[in-house]
Amino acid sequence: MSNALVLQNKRDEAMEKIGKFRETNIMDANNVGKAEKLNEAKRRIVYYFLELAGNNLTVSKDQLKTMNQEQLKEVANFIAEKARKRAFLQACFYIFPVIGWMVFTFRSRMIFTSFWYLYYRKILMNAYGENYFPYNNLMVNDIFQPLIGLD
Amino acid sequence: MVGLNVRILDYMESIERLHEIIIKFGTKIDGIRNDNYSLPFHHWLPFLAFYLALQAQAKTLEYLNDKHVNCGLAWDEDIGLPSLPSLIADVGSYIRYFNPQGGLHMLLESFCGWSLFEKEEISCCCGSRSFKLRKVALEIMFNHILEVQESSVVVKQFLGVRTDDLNHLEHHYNFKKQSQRIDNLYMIWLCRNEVKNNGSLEIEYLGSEQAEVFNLPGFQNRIMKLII
Repeated sequence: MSNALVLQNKRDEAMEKIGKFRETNIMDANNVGKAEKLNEAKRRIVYYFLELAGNNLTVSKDQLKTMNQEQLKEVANFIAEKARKRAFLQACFYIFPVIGWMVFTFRSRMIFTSFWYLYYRKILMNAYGENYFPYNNLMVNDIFQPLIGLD
Repeated sequence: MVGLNVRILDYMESIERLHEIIIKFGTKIDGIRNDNYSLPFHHWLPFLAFYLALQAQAKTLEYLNDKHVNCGLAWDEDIGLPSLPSLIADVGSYIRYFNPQGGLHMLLESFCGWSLFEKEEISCCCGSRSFKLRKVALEIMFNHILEVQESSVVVKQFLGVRTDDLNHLEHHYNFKKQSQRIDNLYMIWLCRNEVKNNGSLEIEYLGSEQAEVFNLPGFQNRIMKLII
């Protein structure tokens, strides 16, 4: 029981309890939302990583799986460096609609690969720092399959 | 009816009489504590406050008077106690000279008029359509009124809440009485005791009213701490 001389009435107590429930619910929802977002980023970055590795380095997923964690981290950083310039160009295409739409129509699957790779890399780096690369996601076959034309 | 049988006592005699009365009061309080009375303890809170006021008066008289400089005390023979205006004036002097801290200061000051007992803050949704809790700053005000009735003194104790949030005042309390003197002050605790000192000391509980949300045990604890 509170030590105050004037206590809350029953309605105040009920509303205070509901307020606490709502705060907890919002916090839980935020935590769940954050975790979901990170899981999604892990799945997507692996997909874009494999796409870029296949295009730039001409290596397959099975070959990449044979590499250890440190080596994969270096490859991921190397791809990020290469992707920066291309991501800028991709953004330019997006900014100039006519050219952007043409490329988007013909190469929809690949158009924003570098851009999204860097985007998800940033999300994961914000969450996990230097060891952002989701090694485990690469090792399992949980690969993100984007809908053509929407990535 | 106002007591008219007032005598001016020598300061030594008045202090002696006061001490006798304080001892009687103390014995009574022990009886209340030991549950010799059928009523709950909080029914006697005005009496306890009155006891503290008498103690303050005795200390003031001891402090202010000596054999060289002294002043007589008006004693109301009808009620067997110091005359009430003298009592209130001496309680005021006690506050000025001894400057008691905390609750005792507030309690004694409440014999001279409404005094601020505590400041509190409450989360309340009273009067709000959205039922959204808001912080309401409250001032807990305290007052004692002494009245002579034939050969006894009636001690009235009032505790009120003052705030600018009128919605809170209107809706939070199931029992309240608006103060005539101070704006936005609603009384949420009223209690009356009668004290008779005709040879033997008798106390009587005359009634009390309180709001449901008033924390009476908490208030009782605060008064009890002052007596111990």
